Amino acid sequence: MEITQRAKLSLFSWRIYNARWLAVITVVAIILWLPLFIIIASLGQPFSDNFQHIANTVLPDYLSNSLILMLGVALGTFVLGTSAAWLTTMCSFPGRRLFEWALLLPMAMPAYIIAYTYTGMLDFAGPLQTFLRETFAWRYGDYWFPEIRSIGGAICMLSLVLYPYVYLIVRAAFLNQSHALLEVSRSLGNGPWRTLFFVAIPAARPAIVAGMTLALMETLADYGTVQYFGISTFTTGIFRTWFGLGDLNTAAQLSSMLLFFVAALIVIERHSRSHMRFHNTTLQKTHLPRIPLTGTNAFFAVLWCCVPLGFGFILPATQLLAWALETWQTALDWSFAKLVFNSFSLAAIASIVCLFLAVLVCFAQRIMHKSKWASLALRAATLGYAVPGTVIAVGVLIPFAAFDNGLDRWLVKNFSVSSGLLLSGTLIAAVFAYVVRFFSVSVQTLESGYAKIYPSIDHSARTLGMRPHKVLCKIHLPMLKTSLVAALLLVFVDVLKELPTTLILRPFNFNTLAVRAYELASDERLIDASSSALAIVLVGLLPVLLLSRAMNQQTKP
Amino acid sequence: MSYQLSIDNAELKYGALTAVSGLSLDLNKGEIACLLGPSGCGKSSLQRAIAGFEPISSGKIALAGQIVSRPGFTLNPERRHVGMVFQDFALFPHLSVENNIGFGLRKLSKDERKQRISAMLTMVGLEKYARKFPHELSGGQQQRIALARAIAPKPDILLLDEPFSSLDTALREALAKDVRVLLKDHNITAIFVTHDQQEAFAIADKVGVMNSGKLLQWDTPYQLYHKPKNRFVANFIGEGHVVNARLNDKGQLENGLGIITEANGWETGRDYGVLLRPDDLVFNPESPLKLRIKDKLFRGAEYLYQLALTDDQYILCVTPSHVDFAIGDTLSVSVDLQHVVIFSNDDIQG
Repeated sequence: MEITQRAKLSLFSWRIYNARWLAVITVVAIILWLPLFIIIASLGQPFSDNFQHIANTVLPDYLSNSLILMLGVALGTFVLGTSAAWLTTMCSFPGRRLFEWALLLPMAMPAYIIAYTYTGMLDFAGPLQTFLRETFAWRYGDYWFPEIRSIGGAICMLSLVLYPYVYLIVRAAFLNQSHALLEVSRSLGNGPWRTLFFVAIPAARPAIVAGMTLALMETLADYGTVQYFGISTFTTGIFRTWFGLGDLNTAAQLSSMLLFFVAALIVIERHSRSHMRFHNTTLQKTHLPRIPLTGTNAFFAVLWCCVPLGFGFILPATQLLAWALETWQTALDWSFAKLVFNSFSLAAIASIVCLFLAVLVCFAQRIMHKSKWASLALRAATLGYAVPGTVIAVGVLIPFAAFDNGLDRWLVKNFSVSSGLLLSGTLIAAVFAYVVRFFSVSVQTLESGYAKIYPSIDHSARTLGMRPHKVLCKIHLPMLKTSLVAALLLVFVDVLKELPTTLILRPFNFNTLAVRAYELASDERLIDASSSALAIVLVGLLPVLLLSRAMNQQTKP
Repeated sequence: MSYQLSIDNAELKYGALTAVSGLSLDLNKGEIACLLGPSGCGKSSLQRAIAGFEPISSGKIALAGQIVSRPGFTLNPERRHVGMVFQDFALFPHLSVENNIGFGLRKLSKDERKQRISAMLTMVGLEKYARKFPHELSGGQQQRIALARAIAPKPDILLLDEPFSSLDTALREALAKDVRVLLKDHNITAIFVTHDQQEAFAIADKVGVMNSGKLLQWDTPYQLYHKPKNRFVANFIGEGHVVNARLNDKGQLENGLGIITEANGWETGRDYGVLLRPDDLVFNPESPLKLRIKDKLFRGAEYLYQLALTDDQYILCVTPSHVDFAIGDTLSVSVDLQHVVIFSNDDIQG
C-alpha cells in the first residue's frame, strides 16, 4: 500500500542518489588523471631516434644531476628545517616568537627568483665582487670566487626556499610530541642535546621524512633554477626535447621516467605520514617548558635562525626591492599592468575552477564516506601535487593537440573550414594543467575544514528536513567560509608562481609576471626582471601570513 | 491500533559485517524507549536505520503506520519526520539559537515560525537566549537547545544518541529527569541510545538490551532487572553473578551454598546457572552458613564482599558499611531469595 504509493520517491532514494555522487568523483578523477595516464602510456609507444640519441648522450647526466640535486636538497632542508624547528619549539631565546613565523618567509620566494637575484648579486659585475675589487684593488683573475651558477649553487638556492616544508611539519611534530617522552629522557640522565638526537629527532622521523619528500617533489619540479644555472636535469631535458626537437612523444617518455622518481617520493611520503599517527601518542597538549638559552648560546641560536631567514628572504628581497626602486619609472608602464592583469586573471580563473571542483568532490566524498572507491578516486585525483608542472604540461598538450588536429582535419575534409587551435593554444589548456597540479591544494584545505564539521551536523540538518545539496548550501558552505577563502588564495598564489606549465602552455604572446621575469633573466637583464619578481614575492607573502596565523592558533592551548 | 514505531525482523549490514539482525520491536505513541548495550552492539546502527541514514537488508521499519524502510527502499531522512539529538548536540555554529530552532520550520509561515520558536524556548526555559550563538551557551544549555530544535517540527519520533554523555554527572541526572517530564508532557515518542543503565532506568518506559546486533530483551526496567531472560542480560544489568548449581533428585538446586531453592520442571542431575544479586545474600551473624571473604570493596554506605564458595565459584554480598571484616575472614550470611532466575547451561552466550 504505502510502498506502491511511494514508489516514485525511490527515484530520490539512497542508492541512486549515492550513485550520482560517486559518478561525480569518478568523472573528476578520470579527467584529472588523463594527463598522467597519457604520460605513462607514452612508454608503450615506440622509442624514436631522438630518444636513442638522448639516451646515449645526455640521459646519464639528467639522472646523475637530478640525484645529486635531490641528495643535496634533502640534506640542506633537513639541517635547516629541523634545527630551526627545534630551536623555536624547544628553546627560548630573544626573538624566538618572531623567528617562529618569520622562518616561513622564504616560502614566498620562488626558487627561480632567488636564483636570479643571487646571480645578479654575486656575478662579476654584481655589487659584492665590485666591492671586493674596489676594496682590495683586485682585478679579473686575481682572486677566486665561488660560482653560483653550479649544481652546488642550485642546491643552496633550493634548500633556502624549500626548508620551510620540513620546518613546518617537524615543528608540528615537536609540539605534538609527548611532553613526558622528553622528560623521561632528561630524568634518565640525558642532556638536552642527547635528548634531541636520541629521542626528539628519532620520534619525529616520520615528520622529517614527510617534509623532506615534499621539498624533493618541488626540487624535481623545478625548471627555472636549473635551466638558468645551466644544469641538465629531467625538466630541462623535457623542455629541450619539446621546444628544440619538437618531439612531443619523446618528451612524454622522458616525463614518464621522471614520474618514477615522483612515484617513489609519493610512496615514501604516504608511508611516513601513516607512521606519524603512531608516533604522536599523546593527546595532552601542555605547554613545553622551553630550555632557556642565555649569553653565547642565545647569540648562536639567533645567528643560526638568521641564516635561513636572512639568506632565504631578507637579503634577496632587499636586493629585489633596491633594483625595483632603481627601475620602477621605466618598468611600471602599461605593459606591466597588462602582465599583472594576465597573471591575476589566469590565477583567479584556475583557483575558482579548482575550488568549484574541490567543493563538489569533497561534498561527494562526505556523502560517500564509506565507499572505498570514492576515497581511492579522490586520492588519485589529487596526485597532481607531486607531479612536476613540465610533465603535466606535456600530458595536457598531447591530447589537446590531438583533439585540435583531429577536429581541424575533419572540418577541412567535410566543410573546408579550418578550426585552428581550439584547446592547445589557448588558456583552456593552461587552466586545465593548473587544476591538475593544484587540485590537491584546494581539496586538502577543504578537507581540513570539513574535518571540523562533525557528521552529526549533517544528520541534524537532514532530519530537520533538508535535502543533501541544501545541506551543502545552508550548512557546509557557511561553516567552511575560512577554508574556502584559504583554498582560493593558496591556489591563486601557486598558479602565479608556476613557471614551466605557463611557459609550455601559454597562448602565443600571452605573458605573465613569472614568464616575464624568466625571459628578462634569460636575457641577462636581471635588474629589469626585478619588478615582476618582486610582485610575485609580495603576492607569495599572503599564504605565509595565512600559515603563520594558523600556527599561532596551533600553539594556543 | 497501529504502533508509532514498528520494526519487523530488521537486518542491517555494513558490507560483510552484520550490525543488526532479526530485530523486531514496537513502540506506542508517547512511550519512551531506551536501547542499552555495550559499544558496538548495534544500538546506534539501529537508530541510524530508523532515522534513514542506513538502508536495511531485510525486514521492515514503519513510522506512524507508514513503511519507511524495506530492502531496496529507504525513505530519505529529510522526509521521515524524525527528530534527532546527538551526543555533541550538533548545533549549527553559524546560526543563532532561534535560527537553530527554526531550522526545521521552513514550511511554516513567518508568524507561526516565530510562535513555535518562542514556545520551544519557553519549554526548555531559555527564553532569554534567542539571539545568542551556540558557542556562548554552556553544555547543559546547548543540550536543551538541541532538544528544542529536534522537537520543534513535531516529529513522529525523537531519537536521542547518548544525549547526556558529554555532560558532567551531576547535570546529567537532573537533565535526564527534566527531559523525561518534558517528553511525557508533550506526548512525544522517543528512543534513547545509551550505555548507562541508571540513565536508561531513569528515563525509559521500555528498555531494550542489545548485544552483537541482537535484541536480547525488550521489557520494562523492573522486569529487566528481576526477570532477565538470559545470561547476558543477567550479567549486564545491575550487579550480580550467575553461579552454577546442580539439581538434585529432590528437585532442589544445590551447590556450595547448600540448597538454594526448589526448582520444578528441570532435569535432575544436571548443572544450571542461578542468578544471585548482591542483595540476595543477607549478613546474619547467627547463620550457620559461613563463607570465606575473597575480596571486598568499600562503597561508603555499604561494603561489597566477594565470597568464595567451596567449588571455586564466588558470589557477591552487600552489607551495611559498619560490617567490617578482613579479607580471609569468614562472613556469616543467609540466603534470602525472593524469586529465582535459572538458566540452562546450553545458554552460555545468552
